[in-house]
Amino acid sequence: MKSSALAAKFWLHWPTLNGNLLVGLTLALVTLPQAVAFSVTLAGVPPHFGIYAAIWGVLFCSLLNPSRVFHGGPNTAMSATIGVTLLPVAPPFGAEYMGYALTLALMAGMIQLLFFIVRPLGRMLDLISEPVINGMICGIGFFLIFRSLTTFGGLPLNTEVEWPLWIAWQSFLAVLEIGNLHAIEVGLITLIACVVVQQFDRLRNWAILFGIAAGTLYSQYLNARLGPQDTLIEQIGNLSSIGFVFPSLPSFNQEAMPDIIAILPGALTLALLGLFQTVAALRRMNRKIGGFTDSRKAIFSDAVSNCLLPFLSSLPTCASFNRMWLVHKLGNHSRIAIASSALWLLLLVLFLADLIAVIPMPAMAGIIMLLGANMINWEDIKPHLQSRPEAMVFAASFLSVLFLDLFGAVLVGSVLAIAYSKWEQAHPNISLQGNVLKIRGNLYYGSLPVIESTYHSAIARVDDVIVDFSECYYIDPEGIRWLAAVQAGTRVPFADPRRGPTRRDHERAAPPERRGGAGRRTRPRRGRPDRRRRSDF
Amino acid sequence: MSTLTAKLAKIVLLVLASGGLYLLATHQHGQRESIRQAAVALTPDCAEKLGRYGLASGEHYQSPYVLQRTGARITARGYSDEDVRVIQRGCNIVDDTQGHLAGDADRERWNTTRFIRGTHLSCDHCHQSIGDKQDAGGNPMKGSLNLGASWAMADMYDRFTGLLLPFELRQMQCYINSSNGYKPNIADDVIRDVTAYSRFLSVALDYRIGNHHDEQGVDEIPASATPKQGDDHVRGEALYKQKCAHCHGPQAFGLEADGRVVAPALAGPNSWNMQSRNYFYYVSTILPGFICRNMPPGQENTLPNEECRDIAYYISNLPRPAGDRQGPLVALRQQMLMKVLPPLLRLTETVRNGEAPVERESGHDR
Amino acid sequence: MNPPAPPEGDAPVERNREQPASSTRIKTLAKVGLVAGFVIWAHLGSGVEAFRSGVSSEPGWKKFSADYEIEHFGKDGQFVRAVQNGYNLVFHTHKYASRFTRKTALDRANSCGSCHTAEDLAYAFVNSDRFDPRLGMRVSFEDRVRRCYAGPMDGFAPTIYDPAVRDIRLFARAVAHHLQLGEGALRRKD
Repeated sequence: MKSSALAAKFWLHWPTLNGNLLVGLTLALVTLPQAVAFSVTLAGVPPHFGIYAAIWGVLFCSLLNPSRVFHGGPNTAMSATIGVTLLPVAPPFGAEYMGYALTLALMAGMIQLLFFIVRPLGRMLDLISEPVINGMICGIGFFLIFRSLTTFGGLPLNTEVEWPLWIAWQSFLAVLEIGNLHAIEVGLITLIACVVVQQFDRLRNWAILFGIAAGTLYSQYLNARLGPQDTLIEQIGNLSSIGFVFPSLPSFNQEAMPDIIAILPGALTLALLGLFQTVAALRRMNRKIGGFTDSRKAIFSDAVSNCLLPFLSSLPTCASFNRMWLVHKLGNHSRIAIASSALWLLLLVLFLADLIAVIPMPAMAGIIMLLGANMINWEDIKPHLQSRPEAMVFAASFLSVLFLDLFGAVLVGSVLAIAYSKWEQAHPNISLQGNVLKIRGNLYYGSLPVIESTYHSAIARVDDVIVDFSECYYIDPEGIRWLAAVQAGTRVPFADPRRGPTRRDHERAAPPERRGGAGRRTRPRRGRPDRRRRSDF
Repeated sequence: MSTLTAKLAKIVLLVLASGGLYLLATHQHGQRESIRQAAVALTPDCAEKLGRYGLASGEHYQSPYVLQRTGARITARGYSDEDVRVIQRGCNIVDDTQGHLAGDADRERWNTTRFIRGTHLSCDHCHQSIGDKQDAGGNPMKGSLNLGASWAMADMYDRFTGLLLPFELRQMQCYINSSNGYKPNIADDVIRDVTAYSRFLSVALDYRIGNHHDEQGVDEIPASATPKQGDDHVRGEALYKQKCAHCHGPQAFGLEADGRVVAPALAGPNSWNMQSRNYFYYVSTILPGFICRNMPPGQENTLPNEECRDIAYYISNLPRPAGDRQGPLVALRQQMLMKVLPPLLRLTETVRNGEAPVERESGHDR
Repeated sequence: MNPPAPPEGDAPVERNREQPASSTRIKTLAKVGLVAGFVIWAHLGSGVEAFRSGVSSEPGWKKFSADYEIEHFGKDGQFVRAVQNGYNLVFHTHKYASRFTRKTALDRANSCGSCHTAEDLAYAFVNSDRFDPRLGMRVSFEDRVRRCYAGPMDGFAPTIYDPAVRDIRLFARAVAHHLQLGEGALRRKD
């Protein structure tokens, strides 16, 4: 019978299914406090935004992304960007602010879609090297710590304040001098509980939950003893009116135009930060577990999700390396686990709304500070300090997050990344062995200044220099013009033409069927890497 | 075992640090409370003003000013001792923001110097007579930035920030305009005390909520209020040298005597920054309006509108600090300009005029 | 440095994809369609009203606006909208500040308006920021509103700048203007 066959199949797969569900539950429990904290402390939107990001965002990403390790979800840097961008525009938590947050997320999603549609743009994301990303992550870690200070102390945020780094000191002093002492107590207890539990390896994943539980218990005790009117500790608030789904419309009308135009740079920052983190997280994941996922697919799933999530009252999402690593360590690489985490979260929120309501904000702020501190990871920083160019790029990226705003930091990071890659190319290996000037690397307009200066000092020093460029794998027209000028002017001989097969000879000799179907070029264009043969290498 | 010791050490360190921070916080809170409870030493001008308005604790408050001018007895809610102290502190902050007249500037002025660039800026340079400027007949003057009238018409939409600005955030604007990058938290006593003083002024002068009064804010002067001979900063320079330089200094760095500011800096590191609405390039109507209605002290409303615009334009061309909005590069540029231009210009101008170099005036070495 | 020699003969090159490109594309489009369809269902078919960032109009606002001359501040505009939001918050608290109150439509005293009239709030506004001997400190209007949310509304304290607090202050200010209250105005015991 069909039903018994189905039942048999179900029970056959039950252990795996059970495992997936457990992993999903773990993931849900880990993600819930993060989602709430990010939306409330960093983004300035009510908690259901983060929760829906952790439910629908994760579901959409796991559906659209074929990678089995990908886990999207709310993200610190993106939430912080939303908060920083919108703080001058509207008072946080209000309806107007929420509308702008949705518009910001939608614009970011559309920019990400542009990065998917225009291939070279997406390809440029691969140029964002590790030092740039790690520098930004470290900077954002500090940023998270400083930004949570006022919420930690139960103080209002300074609206109308731009983000210079040094406001953090004033916030710290303000917390010491006028902060709500009860809030500070709750925050400190949360922090201590988190750190204590983190020291036990088996309970590391649950540290945040323990911390929140400790903070909530203490704040409930205070409220019971002194009354919530007197402690005035802010809490998450009543979520019971938030159901299964909460459709929303981003604000987009004439009267909102000045503000929407003002937040466009923020949308670009949001889009870029999301893409950087997704690409970098996937790259790290691939490195660690040895698989391969095309980052373009990740960009696609990110872009489509972020275009649709603003219509479901949700924060934008991007890949989270920490959560992906958690899933990997739990021994599971199944999309069912990740999708089930979203469903578990939905159930948790629907049934535990009353419990979530009383979680105090200072505890959330403490969690954010801890997450920020965890982002400043010496193990990740150390490798970059060993090579000077990497160290400089890392330092520049890190400092730009601290001293410029996030938009400036993203711009500096992008420029640095491209400059870094170009710097490598523009410095070929040139050596003078006897009277042979050997050039290894690229012979193009960018490297010519270095080559020419070495060449001229060589011909000054040595008679009858021979130029050997047989190991140059890329020569552009400017390089050819220089070579021709060298030939014509000083009559310096070149090394013998290459003997033996070279890559280009192979390409020209390859049979037509290998070239990937009708309509494609049969001869590769000079200077461009040959896409057809990528899979051969 | 060593990892266990390391972990224990980490936990103990964290607990100690948290405990230490908490104790420090409690101590600082206690300090603040003791300052709130301490008797307030009024500045001479504040003592005179608050005495004139009859500020005292009691069950009711009746404004002597209103009684004297209209004969009406308006009874308002009285102030407790703490309220009186708060208003007194607020008056002190407006009158002497930097605490030059205070025994312990940090304690008595809630550390305002943390938030203000330089040593000159004080609220009452613009909000003259401690926010309540009156003419010889005791009438509030138009465009005199009356604080009580500001409270009456507060919480309105502000087009520059694009927000509805509660009174407290409006005060924050002043810190933004002058600031060195630091701002007080909105719940800070500094803000609350000045709010309390403004509210007291509004009851002393009998302003009703939501009513407009001419003395509120600045009486802005657009170009249409002038003969439209062009806002000429060169003409402005000549006017400045003739009418303003003897108080504000030849390069507008202000004048100090006996540690007190006689005339504040209009340019340079002690002055307002490029994000202020006094900056002609940002808003061209506010500084001219201020100059015409409030300057020179004692001879208000004597300058024609065109001259006010010219002088304001000239002043805005003098080097001043950058605001937060301008970003770090412009800030660096402005710092360099403020350091380099004054001595250079002094040199070139004296060479041009063939005079001996002018005495260095105070305040520009900061 | 030289690339490896290509495989001999016509052996097909291994590819990652097992299916032809068009089928993958169709699958992807189907997934996108599914997701987009879900979003559209959420808006149109789920029965939940979509969130919009504007201020919704409650019955009674027009009359209130006329009675209290809110148009003095303009027919529309940021301030007037904030006052309208304040009106919604004061008289329909459980609906507009649902995050900060546990009261529902079924509770008897479920809004500020259940205990306070608009005049009460206006007088409270002009008499705020004073020392409260029972609490031993000065309490601002915002703090009073927060205490109300936390206590009598059986809810949670919002932050000071939250519109759930700010708009009540603006509402009180607009009513205070209509009543021509000055700072510290005392209620006449008529």
